Amino acid sequence: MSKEIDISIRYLENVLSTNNSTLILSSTAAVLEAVSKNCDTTNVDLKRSIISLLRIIDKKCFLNQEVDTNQIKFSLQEVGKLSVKCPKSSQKPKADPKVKSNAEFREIGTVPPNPEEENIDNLLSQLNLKKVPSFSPAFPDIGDDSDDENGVTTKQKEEERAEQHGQKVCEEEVVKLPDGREIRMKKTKTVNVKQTTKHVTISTKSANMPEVSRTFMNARKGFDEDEEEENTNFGGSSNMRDPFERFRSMLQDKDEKIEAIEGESTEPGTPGSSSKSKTIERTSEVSQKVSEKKEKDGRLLAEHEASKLDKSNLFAKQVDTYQGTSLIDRKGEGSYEENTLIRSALPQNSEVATPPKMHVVEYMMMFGDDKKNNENEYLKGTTISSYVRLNNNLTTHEEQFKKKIQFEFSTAGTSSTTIDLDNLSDLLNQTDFNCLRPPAKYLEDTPRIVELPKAIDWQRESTTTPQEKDLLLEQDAAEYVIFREKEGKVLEVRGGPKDALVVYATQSSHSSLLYQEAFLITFRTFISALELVNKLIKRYLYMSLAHDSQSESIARHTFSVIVRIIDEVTQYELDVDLITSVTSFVYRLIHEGNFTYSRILRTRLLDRIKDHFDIHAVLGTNLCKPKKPHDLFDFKSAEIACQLTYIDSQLYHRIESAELLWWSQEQNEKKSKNLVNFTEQFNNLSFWVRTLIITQSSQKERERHMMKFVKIMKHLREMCNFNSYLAILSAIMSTPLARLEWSKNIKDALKEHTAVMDTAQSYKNYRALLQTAKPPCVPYIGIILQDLTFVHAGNPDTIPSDRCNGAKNMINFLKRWNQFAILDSIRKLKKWNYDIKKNDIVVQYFNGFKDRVDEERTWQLSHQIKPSNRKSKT
Amino acid sequence: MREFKVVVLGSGGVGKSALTVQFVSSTFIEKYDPTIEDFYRKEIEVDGQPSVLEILDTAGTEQFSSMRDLYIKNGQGFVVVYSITSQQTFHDIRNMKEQIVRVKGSENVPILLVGNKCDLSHQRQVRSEEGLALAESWSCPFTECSAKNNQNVNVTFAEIVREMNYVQSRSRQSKTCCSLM
Repeated sequence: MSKEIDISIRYLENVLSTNNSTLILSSTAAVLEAVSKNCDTTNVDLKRSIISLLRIIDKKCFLNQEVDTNQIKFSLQEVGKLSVKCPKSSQKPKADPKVKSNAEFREIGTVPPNPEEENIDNLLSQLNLKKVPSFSPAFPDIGDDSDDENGVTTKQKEEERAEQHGQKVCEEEVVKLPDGREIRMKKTKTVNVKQTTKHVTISTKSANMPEVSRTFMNARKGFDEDEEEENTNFGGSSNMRDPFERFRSMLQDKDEKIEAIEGESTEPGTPGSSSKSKTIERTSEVSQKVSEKKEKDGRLLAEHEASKLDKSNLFAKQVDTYQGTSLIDRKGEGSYEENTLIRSALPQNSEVATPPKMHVVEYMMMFGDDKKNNENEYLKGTTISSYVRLNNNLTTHEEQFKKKIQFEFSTAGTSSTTIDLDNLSDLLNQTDFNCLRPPAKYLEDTPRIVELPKAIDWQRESTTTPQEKDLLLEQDAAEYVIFREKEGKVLEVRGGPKDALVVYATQSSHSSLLYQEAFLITFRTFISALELVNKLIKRYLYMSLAHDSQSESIARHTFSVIVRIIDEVTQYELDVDLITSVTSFVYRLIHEGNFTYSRILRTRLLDRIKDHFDIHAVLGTNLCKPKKPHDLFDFKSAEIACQLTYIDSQLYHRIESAELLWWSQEQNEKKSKNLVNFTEQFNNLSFWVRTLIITQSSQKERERHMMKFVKIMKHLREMCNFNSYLAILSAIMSTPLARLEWSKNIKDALKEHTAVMDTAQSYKNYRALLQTAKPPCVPYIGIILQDLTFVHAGNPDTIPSDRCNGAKNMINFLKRWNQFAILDSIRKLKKWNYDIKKNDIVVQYFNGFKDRVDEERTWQLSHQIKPSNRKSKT
Repeated sequence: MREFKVVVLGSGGVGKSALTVQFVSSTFIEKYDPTIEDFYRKEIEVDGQPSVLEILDTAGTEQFSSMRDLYIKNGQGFVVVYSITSQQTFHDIRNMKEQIVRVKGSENVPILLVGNKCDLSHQRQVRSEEGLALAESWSCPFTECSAKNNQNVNVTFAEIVREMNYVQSRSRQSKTCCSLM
């Protein structure tokens, strides 16, 4: 038995006694991984034993049902025994690995990928070889304010660019000979490039003369010692537009070290196993500086300067395993980090002049080239971005962007490209929504007896071609989809029957990725997650039976959509039915020998199930009670604002788009748990603030507290935490407090804030403020809920049948586009996070905001402080 | 032209948003975008006098109890809505008048009590007489309407305009009377 399997099985056996579901599940995942790596996964008995192990473990841990531990142990021993019997085929080569052990099922895992098509280089070319665009900051144009027409004005613009790139590629090949000997070959290539350029443009304008511009270019040969040689290679190319082009061509003849550790050649024809690994490390740094100076008769009129630094780091590794000359497996992993720093020095007395704009951060991405149908790599990537604003005074302004992508792939799976978000605003800015292009074919959603979606045991469900027409099994559903049409051009999806929309979302070659994204965010408004997952599994199983590349590609894309849905499934949806459907699909995948897919899906499901949230971790602490209780003035306003923001962002990040959509339709507290936590925090904070102010016994103390909260609000606004900002504002502006007398000081300090909460013109002021806010940001979620509620109330769910030739039940996707637009804006904000650490002492002081009096009591106290005119009349 | 700010209050699920949508967009359009500035503004002619209503509908944000004060503060007239199919929603608004009066600091607040969803008469849980009785205790007008069938919707908003006109003219009278004292 392989050592890995042995260890994982023994570990699981030990873990069983702990009864800890999470531990058991992750140890089971380890067993599954070990077996799929080291065993012949085509063996029917082995697959059967694994399925029965998973079944019983899932029953215990996913569905919390009573299970006999001995039964698990027995299954585990079975797996152990069989894994010894069926070692990986590499040790006992088969004549043709493609021969199917079971004609009914296709062995996706053993379809040999085309090594020319999918490899790490293709991937890297998508990631790193991005040219850093030239930096052109928008400087405020300071006009010539003097009336003197006779002077000489000079404008000098300097642009500097320095680049430094390095790459280290290490290739290693290990060939195992049948007699046990190994041959190792190692090749290392290193390249370093440095380059600087400087442009200076001087324009002179004197009275009644046309402007004269002169440009100086100084492409300094700033290559240091090492790069001197490279310079000779590229000395001729003065027009260095793409720094990477040089870089790439340079790779071919630079520093190649080939180490043959044992120089014996493989005997041809011997089917030994070999592996090739390749690691790539790349670093790149581009710094750019632009400065502008305007002088008149030697007198300085204006001066601006801005700089930008782009850094990127890439590490990637790929391991290919060969059996003889055929590639059996290819695995890769790596990470890529991008860092951008923009610093602009602004003139002293000027306001920040660069127009505020929203930073669009890319989506959680699945990389890969979509157009190639035979693409087999599965990649996942996440973008974690944080935005650090170091200072924001008028003299310097600094922005920092970070992006980190981690990816892994193996020779099975799906891919899709990143999504173009700019289209969305274009799309919704269109006012002519009336031009519908009716579908070429109509298929009404037949109003059969409405049955609740239920779990399907996919392991037992047979895949047969149905009698009646089933859209889910069509390769292309575009003919059934209603599009918007403008001037003969087919534009975005406007609606269609439910199944056509589902199918269209899995057709990555046709459908726009934007549609797919909108579908994934909004499908819950017309189909439940369970129903959708079942439909997609049906489609996947059907497509994976066929052998043409088109069907294979559809199956992969369908699988990718299933993974996305599981990734974003809410706790509410993770019920017995959904878990049963997904786990039985996992067993089916194992049965078909597709261990890679089954592991991916099972891991994602496990991640979602494990994803428990304990609000106490955010609002509570483990500190002992302090001897002397703290009060508000023990902490700096900025620190309190930070900790409020810490709490808000933790709660805010838990909220799923689905919860907001559900809330706009049915306000079910069970479904939208995280949303309810977040709104409760808002209310609790507001009443806590009211309490702290109104329970003070003297006017002086009340004012001191009030002033403190005004200061805290100011910090919150700077941090773009509109949630706590408005919660405190709502407290301060609440009538029991607002009706009391306040010093002019306080009234003045409040002036700039009260306008924000003006409800006029659909919260015009607040919306404008949010638009200019820089992420990270916590928005006031009330307005999002209100917008969603009105989009829901105002737009019909289905397209009126008179608009589409009498067809009924055509889902109105325009409504979903609108919902997507609202949700997308907050999804974007969720991509950012604050870099704040929890301060237990402050959080302990908050005490979960439990020390508060209710609304009635605040009114009583308010009337005690200042008796009511109204009541005194009676 | 006179401009009024009307706040629509009531529990979640009583169909407030439907009522507002029905009122602000009487013509059939295909796209409702609540994020645009004048989405909630509508011109209405009452007794030959045109005025502009700016509706503040709290639909979707009922959970933010701490914001209710702000909404009320911003409003001049109040449409308090319950659903005739839910006794709970009727119960929820029983103290609404008191809350409004307390925040506005005046007894003379234009309020209108509305029972929505009267198209669902077979599911009725709140009798018209109950609604009427509550309205009488608030001394405000009462109406039942159906946002779904666009029944009585414009009448409802016309009524609140009349109330606002009436209360305004009365308070002007009382002000002059006070200043005399």
